[in-house]
Amino acid sequence: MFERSKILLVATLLTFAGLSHFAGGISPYYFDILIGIGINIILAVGLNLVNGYTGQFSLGHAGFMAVGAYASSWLTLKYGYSMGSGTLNTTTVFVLALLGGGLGAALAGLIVGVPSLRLKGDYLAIVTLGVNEISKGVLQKAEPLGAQRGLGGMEQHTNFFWTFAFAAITIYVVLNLVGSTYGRGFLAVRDDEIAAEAMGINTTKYKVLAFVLAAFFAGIAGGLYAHFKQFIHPEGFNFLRSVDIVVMVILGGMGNTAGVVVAATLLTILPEFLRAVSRYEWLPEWLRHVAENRMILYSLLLIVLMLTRPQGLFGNFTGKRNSKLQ
Amino acid sequence: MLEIKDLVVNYGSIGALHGISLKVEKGSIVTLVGANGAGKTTTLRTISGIVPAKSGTITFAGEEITNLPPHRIVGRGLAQSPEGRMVFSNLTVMENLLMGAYLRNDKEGIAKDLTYIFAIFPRLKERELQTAGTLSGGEQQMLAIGRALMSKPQCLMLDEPSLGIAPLLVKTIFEKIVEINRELGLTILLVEQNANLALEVSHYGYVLETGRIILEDKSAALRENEEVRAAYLGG
Repeated sequence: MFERSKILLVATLLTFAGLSHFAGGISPYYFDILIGIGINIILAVGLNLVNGYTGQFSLGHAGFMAVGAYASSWLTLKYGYSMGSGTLNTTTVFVLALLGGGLGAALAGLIVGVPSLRLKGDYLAIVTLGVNEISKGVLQKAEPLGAQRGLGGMEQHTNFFWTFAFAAITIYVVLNLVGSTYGRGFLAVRDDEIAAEAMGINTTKYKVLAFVLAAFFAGIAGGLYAHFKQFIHPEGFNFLRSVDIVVMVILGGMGNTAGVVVAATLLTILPEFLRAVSRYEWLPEWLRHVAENRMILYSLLLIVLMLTRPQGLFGNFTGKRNSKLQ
Repeated sequence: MLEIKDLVVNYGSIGALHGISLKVEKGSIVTLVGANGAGKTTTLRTISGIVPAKSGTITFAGEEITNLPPHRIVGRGLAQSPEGRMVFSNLTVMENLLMGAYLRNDKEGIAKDLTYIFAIFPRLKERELQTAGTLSGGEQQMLAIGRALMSKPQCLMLDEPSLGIAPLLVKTIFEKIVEINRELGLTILLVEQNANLALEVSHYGYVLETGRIILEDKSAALRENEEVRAAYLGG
């Protein structure tokens, strides 16, 4: 099973590498949406490890995305162009910067996670929300990083390949982790923390690990975002961005990676679709207004979902999964 | 094998255990009986490190384990089947059992113990690939006991194995507990509200009342004790 998933990953990466050659042909508008989908998949699948599989509630994912975005941008701005003609080519610098951003975010995750993951449920949500706001506040004041003016000047290195390669890697890592003997610890922590402890599982370690990994992927996503938009601003990583990601996880079904991927895709396309609908002049006036106010539609969507399918669109993992000792 | 001395546990400012002492001899079944809120579960949770002890000592296999983190205590061979069954409801029966062997690396030993558990609880074998949440109460209890056995413990602590289970199954489960004790020579600390049953299967018993041990004796003697009969055995 492990081997098959490895082959699948390589095949997926090669496909994306091939597709990437044709990506130049599509209109910038659709390209923008496509990249957005990839970045959101990384964010949501990563967060699903914490909120879905491990059963915690983190509400500050955009904060880690911000750390990754700023850290990687700082790295490429500082080293990218001086080295571009030298020993390392710009792509290498870009990928190293992405990983640097991811590690920076992971470190932030560790610093936040170790003390706060002793908290449970709502308290963790409040702490992570606070951290999100603090990181935004710090960035707004950080003069070397542009403060309120935002940070720009990065080259556009993010392309189709890198975005979806990292998305595929994220999915691969998360799926393999929770499918492994070691990774079942995450599910055990979520199902029953006391029983998990009684089994000899170090629950704090698992929670911190999930949190740090999710932060790492958020950092990568942030780096990709920064090198796509070529301009980042603290407001781009606010509470609402975090909520967007949480909604993707909930809509997809907590602890269901495939569902979360679909939800991330749908929720990236939906606002664009609604924007288009609100411009169709032949539609009745009121319908166009509804489409214009997507947040209202989102809220309704979530309420209906919670009433009818509290397990998420694609359900919980109640289906049969392979057991290793067969 | 397991010895507790003057154990005091508080929940905030409320005292749960006011200095209890007890002893579990190797190879025996010792039971801790008492009414709701007497502190039975607290005692077990303190032994397994989930609830911190305020003072007193817990010694296991000659070494002090007071206030060690839970995963360390399990690693030393002291397993617990928690109250209310607490199986991992989204994992399959097989995965639950493997979770119990979480700290072990010996593949052969794990496979052997798995066979043993399926032999004493054939029902679990039938339900192997079902998620644990779909099992009946009795089956979940079997799973919780099986899961605890999977850690290959030297001492097994069972918290209210009869809770919320059909009477017919309660009998089966208690028979299995005796069987496990006899066949594996496994030391068992049994916490139970159903004093009648518990004193029937155990060798030695302690009676806990509002955080204090008020009586201790051989189980057979406790069953004859007037006080115990009146309070716990229904006359």
